[in-house]
Amino acid sequence: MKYYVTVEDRVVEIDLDETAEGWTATIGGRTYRLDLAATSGDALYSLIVDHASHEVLVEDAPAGGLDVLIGGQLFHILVQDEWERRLANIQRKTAAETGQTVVRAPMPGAVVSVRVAAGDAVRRGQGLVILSAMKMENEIRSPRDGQVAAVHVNEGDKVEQNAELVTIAAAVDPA
Amino acid sequence: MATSRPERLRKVLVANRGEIAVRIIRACSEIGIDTVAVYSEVDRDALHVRYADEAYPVGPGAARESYLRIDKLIDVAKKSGADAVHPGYGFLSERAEFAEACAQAGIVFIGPSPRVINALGDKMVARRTMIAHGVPVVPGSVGPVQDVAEAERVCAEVGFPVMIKAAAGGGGKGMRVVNSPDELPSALRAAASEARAAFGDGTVYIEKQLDNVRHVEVQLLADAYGNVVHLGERECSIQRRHQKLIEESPSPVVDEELRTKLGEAAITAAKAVGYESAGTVEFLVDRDRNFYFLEVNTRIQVEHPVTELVTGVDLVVEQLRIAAGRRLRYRQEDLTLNGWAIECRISAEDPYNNFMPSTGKITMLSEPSGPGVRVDSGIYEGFEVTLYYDPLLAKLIVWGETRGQAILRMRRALADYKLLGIRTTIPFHLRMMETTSFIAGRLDTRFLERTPVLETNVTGEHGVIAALAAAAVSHYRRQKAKPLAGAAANGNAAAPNPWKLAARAGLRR
Repeated sequence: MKYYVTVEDRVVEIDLDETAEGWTATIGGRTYRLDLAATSGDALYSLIVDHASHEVLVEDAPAGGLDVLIGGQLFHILVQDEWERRLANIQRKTAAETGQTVVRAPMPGAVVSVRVAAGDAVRRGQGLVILSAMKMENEIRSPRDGQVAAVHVNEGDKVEQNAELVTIAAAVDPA
Repeated sequence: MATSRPERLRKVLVANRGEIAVRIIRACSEIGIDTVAVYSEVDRDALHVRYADEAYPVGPGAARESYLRIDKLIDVAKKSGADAVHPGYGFLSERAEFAEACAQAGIVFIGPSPRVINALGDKMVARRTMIAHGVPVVPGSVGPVQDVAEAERVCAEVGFPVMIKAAAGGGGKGMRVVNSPDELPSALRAAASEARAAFGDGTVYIEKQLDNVRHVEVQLLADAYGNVVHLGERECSIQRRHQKLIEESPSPVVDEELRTKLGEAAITAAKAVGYESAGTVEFLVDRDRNFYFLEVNTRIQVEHPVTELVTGVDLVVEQLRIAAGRRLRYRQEDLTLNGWAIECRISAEDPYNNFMPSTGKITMLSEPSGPGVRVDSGIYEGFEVTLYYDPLLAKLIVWGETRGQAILRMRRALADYKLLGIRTTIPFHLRMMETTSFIAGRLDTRFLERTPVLETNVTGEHGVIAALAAAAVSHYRRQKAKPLAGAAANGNAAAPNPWKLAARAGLRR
């Protein structure tokens, strides 16, 4: 069975097979033997990979996909089979062509400053709004490249959690 | 102070929440003092409520309507018959009017007197007192800076960059670094407004921003009879926006000679104001090991456990004893530092996303344990982390014979720390424990500005294992979800694979 595993931004293909000796997983031509055992609780697994023993926490992430905690590091991972991936690709393409991303306030707070204006081109990771919450200032960054379609807040506004801050649309193609 | 002291404390109201409330409750119960917890509406399910002997609601989630309501707290103290109040850190811990209200009500405030809190809480008054007693201070303005013209004069004298600070400040609030004259007016305005919002007082002053300095602070204990001892130093140079993230004791840069000098300066500072209870004198130490007084924190500090682990002294228990009018039971020569302790603050902040606060339910929690590991925690599995309060969830503190051993132990403990449901600073700390300059002890207060942003290492060993685990668990779940369909697809071609059966038996919960 082929799985497309997206670890943060990177996609790896994993062929998972059930053989007489157990499960195997092949990534980029390298094959690992897997032995997975659920332990107490819903999320804690013991995973032995070629005799290397790992304790792994795997849980459904609130926004979809899985949160995987190993060795103190947390990874957000999406596992899709062939069919799910194709479906997601179609949906994503549609979103990329017409879609808008609404950047929302991750917490209630006050708008300290607005760094962009409608029409501005923005890069992923660029600061959009400075929000003051819990007496600390937090920079709200753009989740994608694109163009600012609308700014919904002004300096000094108080906003609730999930309030719309900025709408990012696909950048106008310069070509 | 007019308050007569009880022979011993019988019941203490803990005017705080989170890990520090739990910490104080534990100390009280160990020495046979009953405890009273207070909680806001959103904290009904918090750990401190469960651990205390009594619990009283004090209002809605917003701190200013609950944990900051002096009237309600005094009311609960009277109603419950508490003879003392422990304020913890943050909230009302350094508010003289709270200490005053306690005194008026005949309740012991566990901390210094209102007069001392006032004298040291006003950072400028503290600065002037230190100058008068020969304790070196950071160059800057002697008094408050009223306007831009005055600020420009001070800056011209000491040179840029400078730091604008709130007179009533603390915890990094109302602080601004200014690099050039043109930034000065807006920075002054911003610092003053932040200070007004946070402390109700917009007075600011200016200090030179010293380059390549460490934050080193000295822990003190002082009783009501003028006896003061120091318990060595803590290095707290790993800060982000003036918020400490990692602390240790001793400091890699402080030797016995400097420790004695810092200790003496700190004791001078305490005696100058007639200090009582536990307190901390903060200094900056430059590359040539010159030190400069910063401020005095008149409360128990977040990072107090590192001092406890190397000195063997329970600082909260000592606060309780001192508050009951007991004499210090340690002389300076009794206090030596043994081994090395490091603390990592575990906060509900996402280190992969600019330390954005993270909220939600803690769906899984397994805290590290084993030799040399201490966890001071205010959370449990199922606890809901909200945006109402400070994001500090717990503190992980380790002890080792040497700094190297402590770092290795911290790595192990961080890797053992299992917490799901929200993002935390654990991955950040793990990375720090593997950073060469940290391991070498080459620290300064701008260390993190030079540290690259944390990114998930998807190609590292853990990244590969995580991907394999996700695929395996997904596969397992799919199979479990449609066992009949699977059986039908396989047809009746063969008997079930014995390994698969065994595996399924093992996976069954």
